Amino acid sequence: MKSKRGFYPYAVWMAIFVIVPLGMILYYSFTNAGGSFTFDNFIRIFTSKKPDYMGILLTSLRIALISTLICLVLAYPFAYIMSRMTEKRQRTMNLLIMLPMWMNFLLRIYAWMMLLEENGLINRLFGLIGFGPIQMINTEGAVIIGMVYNFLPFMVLPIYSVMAKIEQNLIEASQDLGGNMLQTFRRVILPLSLPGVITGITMVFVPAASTFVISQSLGNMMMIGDTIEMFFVGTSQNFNIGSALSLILMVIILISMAIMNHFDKDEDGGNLI
Amino acid sequence: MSLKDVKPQVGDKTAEGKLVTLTNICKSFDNEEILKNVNLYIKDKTFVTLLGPSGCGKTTILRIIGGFETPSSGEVYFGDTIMNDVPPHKRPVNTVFQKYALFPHLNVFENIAFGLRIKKLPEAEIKAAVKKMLALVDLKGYERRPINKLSGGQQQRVAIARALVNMPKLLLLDEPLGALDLKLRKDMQLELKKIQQQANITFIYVTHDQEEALTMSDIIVVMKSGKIQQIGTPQDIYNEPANAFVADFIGESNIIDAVMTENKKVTFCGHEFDCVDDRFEDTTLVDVVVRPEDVDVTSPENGMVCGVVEDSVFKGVHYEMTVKCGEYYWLIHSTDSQPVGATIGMSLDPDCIHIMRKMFPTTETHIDIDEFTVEDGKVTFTLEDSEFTVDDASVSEDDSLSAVFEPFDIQITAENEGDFNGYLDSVIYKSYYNEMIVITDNNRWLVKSYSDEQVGTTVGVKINPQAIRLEKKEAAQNEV
Repeated sequence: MKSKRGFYPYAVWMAIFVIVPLGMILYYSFTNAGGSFTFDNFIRIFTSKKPDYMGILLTSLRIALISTLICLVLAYPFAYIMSRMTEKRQRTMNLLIMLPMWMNFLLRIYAWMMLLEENGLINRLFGLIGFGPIQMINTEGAVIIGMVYNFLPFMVLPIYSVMAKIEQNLIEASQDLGGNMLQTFRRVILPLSLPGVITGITMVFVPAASTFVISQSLGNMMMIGDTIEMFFVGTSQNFNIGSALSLILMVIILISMAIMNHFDKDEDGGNLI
Repeated sequence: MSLKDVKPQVGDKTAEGKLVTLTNICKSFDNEEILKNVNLYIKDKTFVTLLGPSGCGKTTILRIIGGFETPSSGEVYFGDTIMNDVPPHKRPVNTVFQKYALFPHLNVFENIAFGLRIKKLPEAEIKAAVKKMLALVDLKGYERRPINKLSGGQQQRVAIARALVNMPKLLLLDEPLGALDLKLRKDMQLELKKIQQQANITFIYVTHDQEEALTMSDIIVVMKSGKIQQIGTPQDIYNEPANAFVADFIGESNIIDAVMTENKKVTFCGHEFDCVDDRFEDTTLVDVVVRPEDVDVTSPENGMVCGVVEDSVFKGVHYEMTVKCGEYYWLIHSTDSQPVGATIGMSLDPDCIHIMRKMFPTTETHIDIDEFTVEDGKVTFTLEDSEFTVDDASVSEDDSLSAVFEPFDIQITAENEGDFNGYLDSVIYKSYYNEMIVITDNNRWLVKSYSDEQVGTTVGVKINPQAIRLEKKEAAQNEV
């Protein structure tokens, strides 16, 4: 009973900042500028060739997926190695991972712009060894680098926290029963770390799919997040189309998360959704 | 090194049937010596228990045999083969881990099948083997249960089945019953012994519970501070403890300071008793062990010594009495009760008196003082990084000195609270006081105290300067 009463302020908060905005998105996406019910917003999104909303959406999802996979490949071995370090080292590593996040997100993106520019630091270094310059800024690759850089901690930390909970004696038990390193990994470490992997993928894929600053600054391109932003705060303000786009993106993300969670059979895993 | 160089440690004179042999095993972690030159062999099809207080190195021996630790020096043989560098997954042993280490993501069947799946046995064979194991550990019908839905006792059985299903020649068990409550533990002790006999393989069992060790083992290896104290059958260890530590650790006992000046005669509590042992060549000081059930209660006039009953508690089969005899408190188990305050006689059969070498060779701590200063009849010297000043007008700068420390005047304090710190290596109750041995980098200290301290910890040592006596070396040499 006591705990229920304590929940009320949070319930009010959730209502104002989550439920009401969701309701507004639903309302706007199924109405026109005059406020009457219509499917026109969705029809326009699915049929329009210029701008090609579906093309932008697919590109966004593809880039988000690639970034997520790169994060996973980088983070998984790192998280494992980290989880087997001494506790003091683990704390230091944790700090090093968090450190860049203490700096403003935009500043970090600007730093990458300086690095990747035509006359940027990397191209100048290439120039010293008679190489390049290479077009890096304003490419899809730059966007992916920016995303991986920004979202990597969100992949490392959940995987690490699950890995750290895998007791050393489970690994020893597997070795004791004849498992070599590969078998121990496949039969014990991988299945036990899966909840962390799923949380990590969720925490990287969702923001990557809807990001709007990285794509503009590093890729000079429109991803779905930029398109939605344009309809709400940009020049071509149109809450109805913007809401419909948001709704489509939300549904796609929810479906992909549902598929992901299907792989996670562990009941008490640390997954988000 | 061939196996023939290894001295047999257990009664058997031949080297036949040795499954595992450890020779001169030492192991250090962070400069701390955990094992100090351990020699041990394990015979095939026996139930061997490594027994000792926590931190004595027993688990480290098990982990060295299992391959989870490599010895700093020394050899591990399986039969005739050196195994030092063979990784755990290639060793023909299986382990039942402390806290079981069952795989939480697998159900009971898959946990037990783990080793067989790694060997890639055909499915039908795996099914049959797991089924047989489940029957052996009395868990039929639990195949599909998740591990976290099992009780502690059931998890324990799964852990045993998971190891045994691989049909190892040697099963290592690391305090496997530690997490169970008393009644379940007793049931499981008998069951484990039964399983060992049925499977007809060797068990190496680690425990700190002496009763568990006596119940289950064919051979007990008693350990303390990384050294083996005694190896023998439960009867040997109980009846003929090798030293006061073993006597104190195994069962209840009266351990009393005694003097032995001739063979088969020993004096303690003001009486000369007949015994069956001869005296040691080099010393007259011995420890005597008398088990509480070996003391015969008689009328005061028929007793060898007399005492007053201080306390009597009914324990079911017997009364546990504390009898004060001089300054000594005797612990006696007797089936007939004596009222508190009564004076009784006590007598001992000669073969109930066990004579043991003292763990500390002298009655006081003697330490040579190489450097000291003399001023106004005060002698100042540094020991264990602390400065001590002793009033002694008879000492001159040219003497060579040794300091003698009266054991009752050395105090044990909390770490860093005394004059210096040391490792409390042993605490033995000696019928009215605790005899403690403190080890520092260069010295061993004998401390006697009426209060108890936790053995195996770092403690502070405080020395009352009045308690230090200085002896000139010439005099000390005469004693040797």
